[in-house]
This record gives sequence, C-alpha cells and structure tokens, in this order.
Amino acid sequence: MSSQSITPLGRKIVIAILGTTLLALVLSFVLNLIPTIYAYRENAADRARAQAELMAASLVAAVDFDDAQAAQENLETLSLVPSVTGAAVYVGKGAPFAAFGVAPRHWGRKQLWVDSNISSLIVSCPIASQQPEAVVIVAVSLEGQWGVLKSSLLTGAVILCVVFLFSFKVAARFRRKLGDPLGELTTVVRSIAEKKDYSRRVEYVSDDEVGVLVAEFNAMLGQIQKRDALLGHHQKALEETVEERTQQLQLKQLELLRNNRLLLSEIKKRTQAEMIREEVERINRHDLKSGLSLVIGYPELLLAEGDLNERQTKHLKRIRAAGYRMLDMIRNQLNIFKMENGIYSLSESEVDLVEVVCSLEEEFLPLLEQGKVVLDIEYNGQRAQGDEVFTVKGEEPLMRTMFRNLIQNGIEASSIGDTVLVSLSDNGRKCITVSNSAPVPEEIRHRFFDKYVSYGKENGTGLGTYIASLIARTHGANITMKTDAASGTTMTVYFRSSRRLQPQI
Amino acid sequence: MRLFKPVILALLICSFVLSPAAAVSGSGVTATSDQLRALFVQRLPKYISWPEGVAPKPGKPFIVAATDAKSLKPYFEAAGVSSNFKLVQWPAEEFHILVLTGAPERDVAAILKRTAGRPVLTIGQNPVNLRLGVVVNFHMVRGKLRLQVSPQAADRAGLTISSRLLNIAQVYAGERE
Repeated sequence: MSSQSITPLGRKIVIAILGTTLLALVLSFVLNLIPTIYAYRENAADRARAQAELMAASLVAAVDFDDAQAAQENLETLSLVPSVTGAAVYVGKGAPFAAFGVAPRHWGRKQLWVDSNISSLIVSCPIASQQPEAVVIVAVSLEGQWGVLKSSLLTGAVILCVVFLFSFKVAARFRRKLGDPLGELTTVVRSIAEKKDYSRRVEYVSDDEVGVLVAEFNAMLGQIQKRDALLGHHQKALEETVEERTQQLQLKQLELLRNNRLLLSEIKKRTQAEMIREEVERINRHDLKSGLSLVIGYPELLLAEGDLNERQTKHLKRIRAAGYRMLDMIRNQLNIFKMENGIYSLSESEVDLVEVVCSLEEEFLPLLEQGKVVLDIEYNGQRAQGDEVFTVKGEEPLMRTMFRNLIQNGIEASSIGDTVLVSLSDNGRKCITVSNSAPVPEEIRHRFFDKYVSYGKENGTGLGTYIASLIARTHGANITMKTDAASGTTMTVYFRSSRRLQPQI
Repeated sequence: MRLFKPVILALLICSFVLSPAAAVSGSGVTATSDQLRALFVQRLPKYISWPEGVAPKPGKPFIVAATDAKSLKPYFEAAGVSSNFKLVQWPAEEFHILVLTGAPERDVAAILKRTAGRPVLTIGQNPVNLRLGVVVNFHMVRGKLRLQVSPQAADRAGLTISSRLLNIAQVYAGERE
C-alpha cells in the first residue's frame, strides 16, 4: 500500500451528513420563505381591499354632495394605517377629487381591482355614489415583507446554526461508529504493507457490512499468514539447496581449473614435443638428402661413364629412380605440411599427364612384375601410344606424387593377373580414373582419403590416398572413390576448367 | 366688426358654462344653483330613512313638492322617465320631500307649521330655516353648496338621518341660549 495521504472516510461521512442536512434545511427554509412572503402579500392585499371598500363606503356621501374636504378628511383617516402610503378619490378622468399622501395614479379601473408590484400594492374600489366613475384608490407599501424576510432569515440562520451543531454532533457519532473500524482496518493494512506482519488482526465485531468486511479480512490474513509460513519454509529449503549446489559448483570449478592447468601443461609439453619432432624431421631430411645425393649421384656417374651391359644399366636406372622417389618423398614432407595448413604456394605450369603416367609405368615395372599385375593406359577410350598430349595446369612433381600414390594403391590392392587401368579422358572436363578389380575393405570405405588409414598392408603408412587427395584439392581438383564387390574400385580426379588454386583441405 | 370677436367669445363661454352637461359635480365645471339643488335633492333620500310604510313602495317614485317647482323642473326632467322622483308644485297633498327654496321666511314658517309631525324631509336654503324646523338646509361655503342638518327636526318628523350624511353635513344643534 502506498504511503500517500488519504482522506479519512469518517470525514467524508461527516461532510456528507452535514452537507445533506444543511442542504435540506436551506432548501426547506427557502421553499418556506416563498409561501410566507406570498401569504404576507395576500394578507396585505386582503387588508388593503377591505380598507378600500370601507373607504369607498365612507366616501359615498362626500362624493354625492361634492364635498372634497369631507372626502379629504375621510382619506386622512388612512394615516392610522402605517402601510398606506397614499390614497385618492377620482370622480372622473383628470385630477383627483381628494388625495392623501402620495396620490396614486388612476388607471381607469371601475371595479374592485388589486394591482401589485414587488414592493407596493394599489387597490382600486368603486364608490357607490351617484357619480358612476367615482373610485377610491389606495396605495399600500409592501416594505414590511422585507422585514418579514429579514426576520425569517435571522430565524433561519439561528435554526441553521443550531441544526448544524446538532448535526455535527450526530455526524461525529456516526463517524466514530462507521469510520473508526475502517480507520483501524486501514492502519492494520498499512502496517502489514510496511512490516509484512500478517499476524496482525482488526479488533472489531459487528453485524453490519463493516463487521463482515473485518471478519473476512481477518480470515484472509489468517490464510496469508499460513501461506507465508509455508512459503518461508520452501524458501529456506530452496536456499539450502542453492547453497549445496553452489558448493558443488565451486568444487566443479576447482576441478575444471585443475584440469585446465593439466591441459595447458599437456599442450605445452605437446608443443615442445612437436618442436622437437620438427627439429628431428628437419635434421632427418637433411641427413637423408645427404645420403640420397650419393644414391642418385653414383648411378648417374656410372651411367655417364658407360661401358655397362643392358642389365647393369637397367639396375642403375632403378636405383636412380628409387633415389629420386625417396628425394621426392623427403621434399613432399614439407609440402604436405604446408598444404595441410593452407600455406602452400603452387608453382603452376603445363603438365603432360600422359608423359607422367608413362614414366610412372616404367617406375612401377618391378612392382608390376612382382605382383604379375598389368598396367593399362587409355586415352579417351583408346589404348595410349605414348605420344598423346593431355595437359593440365599444375605443379609437375606434385602431380607425379599424386598419380604415383593412386597407381601404387591400385597395384598393391590387385591380385595376381589383375589389371590396373589408368584412363585419361577429355569430354569437356578433364578427368583421370585409376581403377582396379579389388574393392576397398568395408572398414575403411568411409574414411578412405583420411590420414593414416591403412588396411591389410604389412608396411602401409596410410598416407598414399591422403596425400593424393591433398594434392588434388591444392590444385582445385576433386577426387572421388567408388567401390563395390562387382566392379572393383575406381578413383577419379576431376580437373575443373576454372579451378580454384586455393587449397581445400 | 371690432366688437364681433369679443361677443362671439363671450357667447361661447356662456354657452359652455350654462350647458346641462356641465352640471356634473366634481368635474370642475360650475353648475347653476338650481341645478345643484335639484341634484342634491335627488341624492338626499339615499341617506334618509322614512318610517315604516311611509317611504315609496318599490317601483314608486319619491314625490317632491317644491315651492318653486318651476325652477327645478328642467333638472328633474333631465333625469328622464326612469327617474325615481316626481316633482310637484306646493301645495300638494301627498309628498315625501318638501323643497322650500325661494319662499319667504314667513311662508316657510307657515308651511312648516302645516307639515309639522308629518314624515316629510323638509329642505330649505336659508339659515333661519333650521331654527324654523327644516331638516336639511343648503348653504354656500366658499362658492360651494353645503348641507346643514337638524337631527331634532328629523327626529320630530320621524326620519332617520344616515351617519354618512351627518359625517359631511354641519349638524344643527338648536339655538344657543
């Protein structure tokens, strides 16, 4: 409840009672004044009429015998009546026959007639004389009515004061009777609103509406008190639960902080390990390259010196090719890292994939012979003769590595007598497929191009298809694999005509 | 020719003054003495009560006997057929009012002696008439005709005079000792 000031109901009751009473009193007083004044005027008119008739009767002889003096004397008897301001006798039109006081004007009435205005009365009465037009006119002042009015007003004012005092006393009694319980009710409500003390009650018993209101209010307070206690109990339980949960949360937070510290420690250790590994790899690559320079350099030297039979020349070339392959692998290690991180800068040129695939056929001869697998190369559906040209934009060493991995994967998956087919086609969009008859094992189909995924190979690293897909995406090409038991496995590289050279890993 | 205008003006004034229409009293126009007397005679019975059986019966006129009926006659006739009065010349046998104007004092005294005790309203116009026993006497006051009433004479004649008449009349209470 707001603390704004209120007008007590008791005061309104007093005002209502006093206002109604005084209004009724004033109205009755005013309404009573009207008939009083009216009666006064009627009485004055009756008296004036009677006086005029008496005067007319007494004036008959004076008029009959043309005795104006006698008429004057008769009229002057009206001086005994204080309210008569004037009188006159007219026996025709013109000047009055006799007059007294302020002679009223003759306005032609020949019968008994009373005319009045706000403060005077004029009575015209015919004189029963031989003069047919003889009339006596008497003017009467009604100033006395103001005295009556004044007296009535004075009396009314006194009565009004007495009634006001009496009504005030009565109204005060009613105010106490009706207003005090409501005031107490208001005090209790305000106290409850401020202190939330629902144990308060209003002490008032009565069989009227206020009593019912107080009883209902007390009953409502009882219910509120009960619910408030229940609510307090629930609140206490809730606070305990919240405190318990807060403690648990704090424990969890501490545990999380501890784990975070452990994680940061692990990350730090891992970073240090990565740095060590990178350093070891760098050292290894340098040492391997140093060793490989001898493996590649001496066959080149022996081939350059000549004087070798065909078999020796062939073996030397194989040694040289293996050396170059190892060198490519060492170099690609760094490139793969860059491609994985999207920072590889592609050095593009026109690459003839027919030449690349043919050189790879020569490179894979030992493996083909060992597995008794045939490698066929087709160009637009025809067997390739080796002089075709199938150029794409790209970096030749990476292309070589990609197709080397794909063909090697097909050869290694093939059985004895199987054929690995490399098909180059240019039907608006250049693509190369490498297919073999063996399906990819079920276990690795859905992650065929993922890193370190290998199945059933004794020395498999699981990096072949991963590196191939990495190179294809670096060149803006798509690489897909389709496999089933009936048709074997087909890996296709689609070169887009407007390829994006940004790596998509 | 020089006298024509004043003569015409004088005639007009006379005709106006002597006109019967100007006899209405209180109108500010002067009436003749006979006219006023005739008028007053006609108005007096209203204020006089005759003994039982003497007053005229309803529908019958008051009989006015006058010693000089000739001078009053035009004004009684002017009242018309509906007039409540009948003017007769004295001497008469039956009458209610006796007008003694213009008669010598000796004749008045004789007439009054003859009518003494009769319920007759006697009217004169001479101050001595009251002493002689008339009931009502006319006399002039500042040019106006006024009344003098003798209650004793009325009492002797068996007449009752209205207080209203006594109110405006000069009451004659008899000769002072």
